[in-house]
Amino acid sequence: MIELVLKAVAAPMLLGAALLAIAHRLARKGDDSARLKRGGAAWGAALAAAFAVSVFVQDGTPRWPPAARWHGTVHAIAAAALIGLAASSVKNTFAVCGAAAVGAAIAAAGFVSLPRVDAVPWRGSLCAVVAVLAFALGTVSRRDDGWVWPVGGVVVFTALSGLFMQSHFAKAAVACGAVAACCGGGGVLMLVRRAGGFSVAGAVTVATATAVLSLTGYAYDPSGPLPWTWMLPTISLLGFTLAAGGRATKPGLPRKLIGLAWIFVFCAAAVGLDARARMSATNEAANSAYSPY
Amino acid sequence: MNPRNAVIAVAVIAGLGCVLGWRSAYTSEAGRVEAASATVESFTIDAVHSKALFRVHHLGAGMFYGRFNDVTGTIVFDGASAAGPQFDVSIAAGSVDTGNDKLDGHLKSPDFFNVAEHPKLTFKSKSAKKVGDKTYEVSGDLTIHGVTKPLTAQVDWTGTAEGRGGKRCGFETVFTIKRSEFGMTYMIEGGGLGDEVRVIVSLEGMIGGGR
Repeated sequence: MIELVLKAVAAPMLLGAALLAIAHRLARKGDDSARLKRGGAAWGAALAAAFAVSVFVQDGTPRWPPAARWHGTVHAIAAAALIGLAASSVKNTFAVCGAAAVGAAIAAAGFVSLPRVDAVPWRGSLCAVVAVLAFALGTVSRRDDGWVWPVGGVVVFTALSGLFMQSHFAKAAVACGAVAACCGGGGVLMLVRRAGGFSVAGAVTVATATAVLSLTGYAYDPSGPLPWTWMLPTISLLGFTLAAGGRATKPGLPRKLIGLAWIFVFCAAAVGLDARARMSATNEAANSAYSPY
Repeated sequence: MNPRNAVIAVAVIAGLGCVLGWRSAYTSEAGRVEAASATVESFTIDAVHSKALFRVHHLGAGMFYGRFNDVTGTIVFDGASAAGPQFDVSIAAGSVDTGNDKLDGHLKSPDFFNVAEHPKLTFKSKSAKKVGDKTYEVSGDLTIHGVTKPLTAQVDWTGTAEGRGGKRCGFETVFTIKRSEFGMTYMIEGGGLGDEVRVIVSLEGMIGGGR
């Protein structure tokens, strides 16, 4: 158990934090404020790297076509990170943000091929959700890309990790834990001014990862008693954009806190309701002794 | 003929008829059995009386057992021939049963059998040869977790019987595989669960009805 946490959570977290610190260091050279901001473009790459490393530490070396269909999530999240990185490298406008969102959405629909939800309507829905969420989060990140983002990321990916664990998909649970840890580690670096702001790259990557992983959880959990709980982390991020965005000015502390509260309430509800439903759906007395770890 | 003699004659004729008829029926039944044993027959696997069990080392301590409840397929067999049986067996991965719902859920997840992507475990024999009085060496392709590997196993013919509305034959085999060879590596590292899995398969095939 300790070995698994070190290899599949701590190591990916350190890798992501190292990417953020290196990007920040490189961006500081030249004392250019625009380049300083650009250091945050590594957020997407850091999160994608943490997820990818965690998956492959647990499930073997990457290959194409993927060994398991859920490995397509790695490609989708990596593509979103690259698209976000490219978007952060050019002028940060609504048009660029929209283009990045559409690009990430197309990549998600293209790479993610899951059992149960492989039909065109499902892929179309995923494409639409990623596009809307990535654009909404991207526009919020244009006004404020500070500490609220890694905190929100920790909550969302911890909730997804909990949902995966409750559905007995431990590998995905650990990989989501690695992304949550990377958000936490990057957040600490941000606080001590050793990492740039979350940027459009981070926002687009978080949007894609949340939507794609939620659908993955639903696809591999056919006997889940409350399948709609998989939607709540994604809905929590939409609520966050409504609370923290919506105006042309940078959101103040109250709006940030309301946005975070929205994320926390929805994510806690997802995990709590799912846990309660599963407990009542199984013979608790007979099964309480089992844990995957 | 007086009535008394007529009754006796009818009784004797009827008795002879019964005896001859019974003998005829018995002979034809036996003949069918003998004829059947000399021809290749295709048996449908009786899911009620067939099971696949597995045994794996847990935490380097105890051996835990699980089973698959849904075993289907066909057996082609001629007991009189040295050619041996042919198997086409399909096991529903979702029928895994350890007696613990949570453990069953974990075994069905992508961490192990990945039932959503690979709903069937299959074995299709390619050849068989007789190596003992009632033992055959059967070779074929075993598919688990979407990975197909050749397998050779000793299979015991446990018997053939007729009754309950049909003819039946039984086979049993025990063999060991490495689950890592089938891409199922979860928890091998660190010794959570062993790599080697002992598999015990007991099959009963039937022709006709039955229960």
